[in-house]
Amino acid sequence: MVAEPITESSKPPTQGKQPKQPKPQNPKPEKGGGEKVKSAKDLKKEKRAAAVAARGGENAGAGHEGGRPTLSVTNTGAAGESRQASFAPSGSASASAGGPGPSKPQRPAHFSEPSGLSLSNIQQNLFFSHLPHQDFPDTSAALINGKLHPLIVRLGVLMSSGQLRGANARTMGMMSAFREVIRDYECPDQAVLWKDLPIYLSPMIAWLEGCRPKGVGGGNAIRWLKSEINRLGEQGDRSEAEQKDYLVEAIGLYLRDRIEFADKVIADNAKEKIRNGDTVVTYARSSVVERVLLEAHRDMKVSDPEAGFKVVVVDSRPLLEGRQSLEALSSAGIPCTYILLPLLSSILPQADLVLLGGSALHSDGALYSRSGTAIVSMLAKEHRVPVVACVETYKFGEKVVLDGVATNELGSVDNLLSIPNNLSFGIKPNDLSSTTGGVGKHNLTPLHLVYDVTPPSLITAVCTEIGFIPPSSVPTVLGKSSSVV
Amino acid sequence: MAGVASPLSLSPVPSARGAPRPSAQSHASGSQTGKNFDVIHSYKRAIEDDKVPHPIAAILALVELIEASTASTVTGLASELTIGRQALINTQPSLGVRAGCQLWERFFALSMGGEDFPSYKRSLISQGRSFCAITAPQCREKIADLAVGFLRDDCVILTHSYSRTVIQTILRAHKQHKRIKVYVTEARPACLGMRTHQVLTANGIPCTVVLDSAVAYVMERVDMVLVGSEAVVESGGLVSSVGTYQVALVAKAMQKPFYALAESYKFLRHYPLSQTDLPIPSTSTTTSISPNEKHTSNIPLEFPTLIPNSHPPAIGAHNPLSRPTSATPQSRSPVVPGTPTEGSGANRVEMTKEMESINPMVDVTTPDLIDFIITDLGAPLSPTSVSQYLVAQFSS
Repeated sequence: MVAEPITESSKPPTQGKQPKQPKPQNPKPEKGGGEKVKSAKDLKKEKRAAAVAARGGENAGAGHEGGRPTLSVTNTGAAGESRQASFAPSGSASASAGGPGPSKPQRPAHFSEPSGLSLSNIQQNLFFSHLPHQDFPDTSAALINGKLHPLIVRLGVLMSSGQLRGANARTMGMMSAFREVIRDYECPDQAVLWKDLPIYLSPMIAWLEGCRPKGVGGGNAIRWLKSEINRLGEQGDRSEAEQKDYLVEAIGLYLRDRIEFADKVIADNAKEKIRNGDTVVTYARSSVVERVLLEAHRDMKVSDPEAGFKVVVVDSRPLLEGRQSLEALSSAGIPCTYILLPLLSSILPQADLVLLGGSALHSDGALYSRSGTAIVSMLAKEHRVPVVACVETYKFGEKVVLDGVATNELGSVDNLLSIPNNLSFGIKPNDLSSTTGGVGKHNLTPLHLVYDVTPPSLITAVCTEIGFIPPSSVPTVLGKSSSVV
Repeated sequence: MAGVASPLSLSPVPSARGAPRPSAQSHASGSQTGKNFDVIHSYKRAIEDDKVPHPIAAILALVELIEASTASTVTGLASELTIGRQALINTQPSLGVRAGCQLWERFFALSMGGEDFPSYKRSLISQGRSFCAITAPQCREKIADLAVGFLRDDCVILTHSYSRTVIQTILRAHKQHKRIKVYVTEARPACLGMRTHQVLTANGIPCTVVLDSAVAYVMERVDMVLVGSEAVVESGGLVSSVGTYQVALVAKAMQKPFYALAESYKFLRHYPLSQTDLPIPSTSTTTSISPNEKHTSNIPLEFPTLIPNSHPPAIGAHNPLSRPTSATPQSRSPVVPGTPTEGSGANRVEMTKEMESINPMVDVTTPDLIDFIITDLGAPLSPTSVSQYLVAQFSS
């Protein structure tokens, strides 16, 4: 979908632009920070460019050009120019496009020639060098660029910094942001909305992807949005305002039906499984699980003030997300215990239920969730405690993922090495900062993978808005809903 | 699962908890059904017929309710049906009732068409009746047809308790001149295994009744295990008379094939996570246990909550803790003195009615223990495909 317009449009306009702004006005911007942000997107571009180059010799130049780390991927002539004007002065916008100029030789090296600086990058991840590495996004460049709605830039920063965490929160944030973007969008005169809007949105999608991969749920939402836009093309004969209203409303409905209502139904279903006197184990933080527990507690208290259940919040470094969960639950009056992952095996014999959230559920029934979830489920299986994963159907992915190695995210390493009591590994954190690629003189490779994969055999049931289903029935649900999505 | 809770979480006033719930329930159902038509009575009349299984009896009762209904709109009829369904579900211990009600509800929702109300009502009634009279018995025929292929000549079958479908299958094999020998468990406390024995021996099939505790002993001589079921749940597991789970576990351990027979109207929209996670209403039998042994919930075999002042005399009166079950992982820990009740020597002490009444009637056989579920839907299904079928049916 996105791929085609990008490759086609990226070549000629960048070429046309280059001579206009030969050198950036300020050649000193920190390349380290600004560059790597776009690595995920650029990786794609690189590949595409390489493919183009392989196809025809005359395209080689274009391939090289395609590798340029510009954010103005989809310059579409006049339309593009007018949009730039609306967000930022056009001169500076193209300046930023040329900004990474000096780093030009670095970029290809980053991927194709593992030498010099890039070597450390590869070493940092050792076995995980295939995963895209994320650094803090270069917001100034993004803002000046003019292709990105300020809301999207802000959202990208929130996601990348971890202030907006959790698949539901991120998807909702993203979709609401796009709703505003569509509201503000004005279709250029010669263009048709359903053709122009996806092109308009794609740099923003790419920017967000560069800040933090959107995951299966976000991917499904974006795919749905694009299909909605496409359907506008089939319907035709509506004014631009009507079409925009339609999309805005549709996004609202999507958020309501697929996430908010889904969570409500999941909470209704799952709370039936929590009974008086139970001990429920939960790992890290999940908005759905939190909701289930809070509602179960409230209902139980309403029917009988003496009744209640206990919650064990299991947490692990470096994110320690369980603390937020703990705060929400204990302030609601639920008796909570807080432990770290290593203690889990001692607690599980006392437990009746393990409730897990997830970022995605793959079609073989494997749960893609915060790293550590697989250990929790494995131990729970060992202790014969039922494991229930609460996942909305919009997070069902059609892929099959065999392990957490092939697809994953690299998290920030900084937290990993900072220990609360200031004991260190005899290393100053600076030694390992990302500028040196994380490898200091100590041959230490800190690694933080954000997710892991829990095989379906470890999950007793999946609680979705259509009820409890065994993990093996995910394809059935996918098959039914794929016509809708 | 209160056995799990540490002493800290035990509340001091258990009686206050247990009392209001069942009474409120029975009160509500009484007032609802007393209005014009007694669904419960009609259900009980239907179930008296030996050939009628629980789900079908429930559907029959609901069809009779429609016949007796004075509602003049679809909505009115629907709300009356909902009340009747709730009354049945809340009072009848069989999960089959719930399955039948769910099936009828789904049929009702789907059949809501454009015709005028009287003819709609008539077609509902006639379709309901024909389903119960014709389709349902055919289901059992179909299953017997399918299952009989699994029985080889000269094979030894172990079955549990009493199942009409299993008996029909065995009889059909017998008619095909297959020499079949049957072990049947006694299946206490209802001892329905004796009934199976009666029917089979009357038809000239060699049949031996096995103690429930001798299942493991006899398993090595068995070629296959064939059981019926009360309901098939969304996980692909079975809910059936207590003891089936244990038979399935032994069969799995000894690598004997375990086949379950289930009509498709027994498919139930429920996902049990544990043995106690079943929507069985607290029946009159459980609430009528002596008042000083109030149960905080209707969970079978739950230890009574400690009543503060009953320490010294409680030891004598504490026998209901008969056998530890696998219901909770915790039940293995506390061993209470004075528990053995049966076969404990010269003067044999039997279980009392009260002790029996706190025992479960059904258990959940997990899908990993089942080789095939033979249904009227066609080729034998693995538990996974059963659950996929169920999800597809209900998620629409």
